[in-house]
Amino acid sequence: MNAVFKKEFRSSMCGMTGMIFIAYVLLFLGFHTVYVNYYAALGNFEVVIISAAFLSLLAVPLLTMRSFSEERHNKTDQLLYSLPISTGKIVLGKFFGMAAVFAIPTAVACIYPLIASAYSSGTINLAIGYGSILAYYLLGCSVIAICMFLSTLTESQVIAAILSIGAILLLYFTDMLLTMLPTGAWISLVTVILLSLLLAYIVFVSTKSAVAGGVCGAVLIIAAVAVYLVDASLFDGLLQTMVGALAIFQPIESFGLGTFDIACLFRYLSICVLFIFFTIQSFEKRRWN
Amino acid sequence: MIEVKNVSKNYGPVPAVKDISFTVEKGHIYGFLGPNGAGKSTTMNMITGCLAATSGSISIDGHDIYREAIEAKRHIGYLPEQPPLYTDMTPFEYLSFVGRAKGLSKNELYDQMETVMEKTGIADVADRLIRNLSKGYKQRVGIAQAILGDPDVIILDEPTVGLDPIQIVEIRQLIQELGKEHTVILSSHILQEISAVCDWVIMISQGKIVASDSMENLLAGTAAGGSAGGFIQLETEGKESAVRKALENIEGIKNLSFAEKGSRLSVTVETEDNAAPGDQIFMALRHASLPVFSMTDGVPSGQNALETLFIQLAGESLDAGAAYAADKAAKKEKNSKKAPAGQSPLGDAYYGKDDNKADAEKKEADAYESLFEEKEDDDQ
Repeated sequence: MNAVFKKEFRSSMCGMTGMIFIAYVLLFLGFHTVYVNYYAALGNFEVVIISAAFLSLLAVPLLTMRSFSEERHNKTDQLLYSLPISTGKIVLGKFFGMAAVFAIPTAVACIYPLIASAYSSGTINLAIGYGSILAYYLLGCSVIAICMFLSTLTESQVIAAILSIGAILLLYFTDMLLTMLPTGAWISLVTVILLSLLLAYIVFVSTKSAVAGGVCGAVLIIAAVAVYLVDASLFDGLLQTMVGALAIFQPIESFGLGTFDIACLFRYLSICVLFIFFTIQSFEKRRWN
Repeated sequence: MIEVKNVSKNYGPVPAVKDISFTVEKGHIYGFLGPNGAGKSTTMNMITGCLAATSGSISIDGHDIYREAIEAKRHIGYLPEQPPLYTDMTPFEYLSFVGRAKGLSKNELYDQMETVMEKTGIADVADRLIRNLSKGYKQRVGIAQAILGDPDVIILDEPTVGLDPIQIVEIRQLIQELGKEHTVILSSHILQEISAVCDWVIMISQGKIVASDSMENLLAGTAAGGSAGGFIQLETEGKESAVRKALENIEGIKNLSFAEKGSRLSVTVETEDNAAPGDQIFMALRHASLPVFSMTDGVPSGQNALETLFIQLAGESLDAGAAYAADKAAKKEKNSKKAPAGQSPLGDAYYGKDDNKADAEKKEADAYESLFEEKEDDDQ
């Protein structure tokens, strides 16, 4: 894993992409810092983070688009497959390599609250400021994980980048979508059934066993229908809750209220784990095609 | 060392490799021979764990390539058809990445890198970006990564494709050097390469193993007349029809093919198994007042023997249908216009003008020859 991590970090930093990414993130963080902390004379660094998060993370596809699609395009994935390292370690190495690149602008941003506090005679709450930076870093890592997964789906870097930008926009605008969704219990049931089928398919692809996939799908669907028949009210608004889980740019806003939201941090960590898992499956699946 | 048992691979509904089994023992250079699309790369990718088999099992030194992948892969160095190089790195950086990924400690890594770079002759270019290296050097860097970590088996997929003749000779010498210390599996569609380098040949055609034997045994089988029959090559003067008429009553002649060489007529007589009608042919031509300028009796040797055997074995497995063979034969007819006559003792048989009279078996052989030609055209 160490070798892949070093290689990934090195190739990002030696090429232009890593530098452009860092410059882009710093530009937006810096711009918001100047605007919020100096121009508007607001002493809250978390406001900077919340307002800069979406725009600065739009650059993540620049970092992730080449991670797997370039390997596939140049057929260097054959080297990775033939090396005595597990697929999990390859994916983790790549993920941590990109996360390390993202850590650079985040580390630079850690200086900003100190600068602001030096001139503000102690009105800046550093704990909340650094808490929000931590949340911002984990949010960035979850976006990296999602975009890395999308990069395994295609061998074209351009398509990977477009898919990733589309995904980030979708995640950002999920809040608006929520208001348009129907709230009926039956539509939630249909969604649960569709998700069960999707999960059954993933189980089938991962285990190569139609029985395992079929049993998994059947159990989930029967359970969902049974719960619906017993108490349909449990399904009320479930669709909103599920789609709401996609709105990963919203939880960080709780830092703006002055709370250190551990649930938010766990949510970002679990998104990272989930999409690293999906990436491993997707990369492994290529071997079976 | 490597045991491949009943392995099949399907790409969707298309079978690429059908139920193949073979074993690879220590200390040989194995030639994995087959025309394009025969399943060579698929098989190599499966052996190295780059691709999963649809069914069957592959074990490397007793370790299953899927269940004990890490342990199995430690024994293998693989150079795929297209060298998997990170072109934004220098060979030094690239090899240190591969070495670390293979689990070498820092000291081992630098020792081995030095040896490997010296062996493959890339020490001089170690600090240049791989993207700026010539194709030959890139191939060497590819081989260097395969032999790093001192694996027991080195698998090279068409290592000389696209190289110039001098580079080809150098790479072959390198492979022979490697063969002294490692087991090497070398895939190629170039018969000359296999006969020059390998001491054991595995032939694959249409996804099936058609022969697996030592080079000596295979050639001995052909030289003895074996199942491959024989060829008589002669040069005479006169019309094709006159030669046909003169030879029509001789037993043991399977097929005749002709090619004009200036004012002379080059004739390739394909004889049946164990038949030796050379003297009768000579006398018959003399009676018909057809002068014989030269006559080579018997079996092809060396590379040509391998070629004959390969085409025959490949042809036997090509019972897929006349449509395919006819299609390829039509392509061959187009190619034959470009091909010079008399390239090899068999050349005239393949490039002859009597396609219409050729029997189905010959068409199948032609189909394979045309496959070689197509690939060579591509390479150029």
